Amino acid sequence: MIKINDLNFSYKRNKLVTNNVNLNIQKGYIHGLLGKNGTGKTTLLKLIAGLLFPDSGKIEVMGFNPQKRQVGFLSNVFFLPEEFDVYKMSIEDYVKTHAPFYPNFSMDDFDDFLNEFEIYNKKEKLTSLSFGTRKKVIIAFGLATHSKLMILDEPTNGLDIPSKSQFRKIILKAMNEETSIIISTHQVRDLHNLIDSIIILDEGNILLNASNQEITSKLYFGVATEENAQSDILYSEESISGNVFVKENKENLESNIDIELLFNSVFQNKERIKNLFSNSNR
Amino acid sequence: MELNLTRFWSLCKRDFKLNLKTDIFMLSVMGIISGFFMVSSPSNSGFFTFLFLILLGFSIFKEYHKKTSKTNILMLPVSNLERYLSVFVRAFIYYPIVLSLFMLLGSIVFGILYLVIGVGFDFTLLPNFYVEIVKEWGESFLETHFVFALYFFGSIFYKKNAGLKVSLLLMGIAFSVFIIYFLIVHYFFGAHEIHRLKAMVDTYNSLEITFGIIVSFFLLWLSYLRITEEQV
Repeated sequence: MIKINDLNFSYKRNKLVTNNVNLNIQKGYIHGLLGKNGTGKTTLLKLIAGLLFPDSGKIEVMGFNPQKRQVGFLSNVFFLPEEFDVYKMSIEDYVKTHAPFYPNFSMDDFDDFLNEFEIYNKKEKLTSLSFGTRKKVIIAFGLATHSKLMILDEPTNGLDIPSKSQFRKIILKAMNEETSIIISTHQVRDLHNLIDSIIILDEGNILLNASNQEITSKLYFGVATEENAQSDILYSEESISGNVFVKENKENLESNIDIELLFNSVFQNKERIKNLFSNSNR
Repeated sequence: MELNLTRFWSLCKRDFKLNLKTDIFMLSVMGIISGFFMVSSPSNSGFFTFLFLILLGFSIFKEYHKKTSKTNILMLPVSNLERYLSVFVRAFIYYPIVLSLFMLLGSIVFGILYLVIGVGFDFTLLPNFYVEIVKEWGESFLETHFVFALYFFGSIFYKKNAGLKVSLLLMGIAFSVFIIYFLIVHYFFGAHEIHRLKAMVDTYNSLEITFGIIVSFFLLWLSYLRITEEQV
């Protein structure tokens, strides 16, 4: 679905935000894009959406060059920026004026998503809603467009705790094998049980791009007690249940990904992780 | 270059709706002021044109002035040509029509006001005034279309405070032309031979018109290119 080759981009000369990035993103998955603040997550998303143009390299999204902003491309991409503008109009009017541009828009689905988010009054003005509620309306609209690619930049920022779980539920409901969703966030807990694949970005480079399956086949996430003290660990930290750790999964053990733990272990063992996933970094 | 009329119409409707309040407010204020000038001194349409230019410069590409709103318009599934044409239609068709209607409304309001305060006003003159001013305005547009094109381009190029910046630019251009004219007169013709330069300029009148048209088309084309190159 997305092919990126040797992508370079800089806002200022001599300071690359993305540095020779190569990335393949497959369709039908929810991809989590993680990285520290200022590592280029939003820039990468904007480059994919065609809101920024690369200095060099190639981006191909569903066979389109995003830079050309062709209608066929834009009607299949929905981008939710971290900060967005809403218009001085009701939810109803917003949908009336914007839905005609999306050939696959479903009003029934939009109503369903709004109900899930507990938004019932479509006559309310967007500008009179709280930031979180505005975001929920835009997310519901975006998902109802049935775009093949959804790019969500920090979608859970500003959402309260119940809304975050509603968000996860809605995303899973909207997902199908033709859809891909890229979610960029630094609130990794919000992605728990939601994403199928993880991309970790560091200073414009891809440190990791692997599916959950690949990650758990190569890394083991566990809790160390005094009885089963572990050696050869990549990363560990204290928690209530003991020392949680990540280590290479040489024994082919089964475990569940702890995204926060994975994130920290990747940053502490950049080279080792790169080598470990060198064949699977797609 | 993709152009789908249904989609283009949807985009125009969206743009009109989004800008309705601001546009109607600005156009009504300008229309009413112009209506006052129409009633009190019908020949004073220069002021009217000037206001229109400033309005154009300040607001026509408003959605491209802020990062957040620019993201909305650039991600909307329409072609660059459709984006451009919707703004063009608003600037050069919708604005003049609505503005002239408000001008008529303003002149009626001021005509009534004149009657109320006992000054007296002949309403039968209004249609003539209206036709005359619209005609005059049309003629002044044909003479100064490159200035309109410059304000149009300025709005997407300078973005914030474009009206002010383009006005300053225009003043700069006018001043430079004056200096060049002065130097030519001073060094090549001499003050007593200025009529020779005037005759030369008159000879090249058709060249001036052609040059004006080329400049206008160039600026309108640059505005289109600017839209295709917009980034957030």
